Amino acid sequence: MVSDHYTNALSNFRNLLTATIEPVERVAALPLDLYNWIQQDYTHSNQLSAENHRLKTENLLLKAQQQQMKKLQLEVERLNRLLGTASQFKSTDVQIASVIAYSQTPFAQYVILNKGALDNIQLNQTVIDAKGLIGQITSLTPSSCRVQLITDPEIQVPVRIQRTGQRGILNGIGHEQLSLLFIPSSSSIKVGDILETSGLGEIFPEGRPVATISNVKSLSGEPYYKISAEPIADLTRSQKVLILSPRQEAEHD
Amino acid sequence: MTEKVFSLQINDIKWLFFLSYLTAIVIDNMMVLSFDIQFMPSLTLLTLFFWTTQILYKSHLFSAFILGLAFDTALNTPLGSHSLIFLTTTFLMLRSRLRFKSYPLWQQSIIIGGYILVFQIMSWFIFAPKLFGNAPYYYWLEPVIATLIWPLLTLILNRLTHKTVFN
Repeated sequence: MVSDHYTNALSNFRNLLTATIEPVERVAALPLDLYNWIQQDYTHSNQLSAENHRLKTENLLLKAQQQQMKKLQLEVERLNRLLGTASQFKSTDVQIASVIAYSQTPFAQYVILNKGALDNIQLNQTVIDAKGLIGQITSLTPSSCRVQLITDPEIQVPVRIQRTGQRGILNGIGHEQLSLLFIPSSSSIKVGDILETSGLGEIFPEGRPVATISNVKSLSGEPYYKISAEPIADLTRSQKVLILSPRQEAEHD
Repeated sequence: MTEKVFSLQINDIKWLFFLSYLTAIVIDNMMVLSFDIQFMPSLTLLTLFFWTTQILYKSHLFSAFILGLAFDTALNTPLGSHSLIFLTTTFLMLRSRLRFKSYPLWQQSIIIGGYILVFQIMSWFIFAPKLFGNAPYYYWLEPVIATLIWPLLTLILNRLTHKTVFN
């Protein structure tokens, strides 16, 4: 118990157990799959047509933005070369995965994805969605993996405030709520500030949006603020997510 | 003076024994993964209690350990934590299973509620669950729900056992 909580010594054993229990979980998720399938079947063709139209428009806008991004990327690379700093994120170093099931209990919060060891997924890879950071892969089976969400009480993410660069640690407290720790009472912080990964600890890649500050309390006599935050990513609603590959993450070092 | 107490033989109900655990694990997982019901007493543990009181020549501690590990894997909790809770509650049941078996069903249900309360207290200290809003009420209501489920579970498993043994 202690070994599993504080070290990764039992990760292979956990992977074996997860693989053993996977068929049970697949059967347990069947009612939800059935409900989704029935709901999908009853979706009106007009709705599908409207969604298709919306997606086409979105695609067009994204392509236009991508053109601008390419130009900016070249510029950043040129500046990086001048400054001698590390290279930036490459959009090709990701794998797309679908969410099979998610579990939000008071003990642990995770999602199960349909990519596993056979798809070259490894432990500790970072998972994001279109908006921001979702979590980290903590166990693997040949055909699926489990992602511990950033709201899980066991997970801590090194972050910085995008506006000021002040570093802190983001701690999950469950129920789509986060708590930002170690921000001194003298620093500048306000509701609405965006938190992004700082890259410290070499687990999460740098510069990924994580959460928005929702409440800041200054306690008299305390050296640090009491800060609440809300995740930016759609932790429980995202159906498609991106798994960042270790190579790409290593490039940030 | 010694009295003989009727105990089931595991060989007579081998399939029912394993299938009951499998079904209980599937239902426990289904509650979380499909129905998003977070506060239900573990059907697996209740099934373990049932077999503990029916198959008397076995201690069931190994089963408790393995089922606890399965729970830890399914709920993503530290390996061994649920095993410890399962083992403790099963041990409590083992100490009084003969007396428990002789009690009427309503009295058994209340005792089961007590065991689930021990389960909840231990979970509280080991996992420090994050409970918001009405969640603490639901969390502490689980022993009451277990009290209501026990007669139904006993009825179903008793019938199935009877059919398996005598048919």
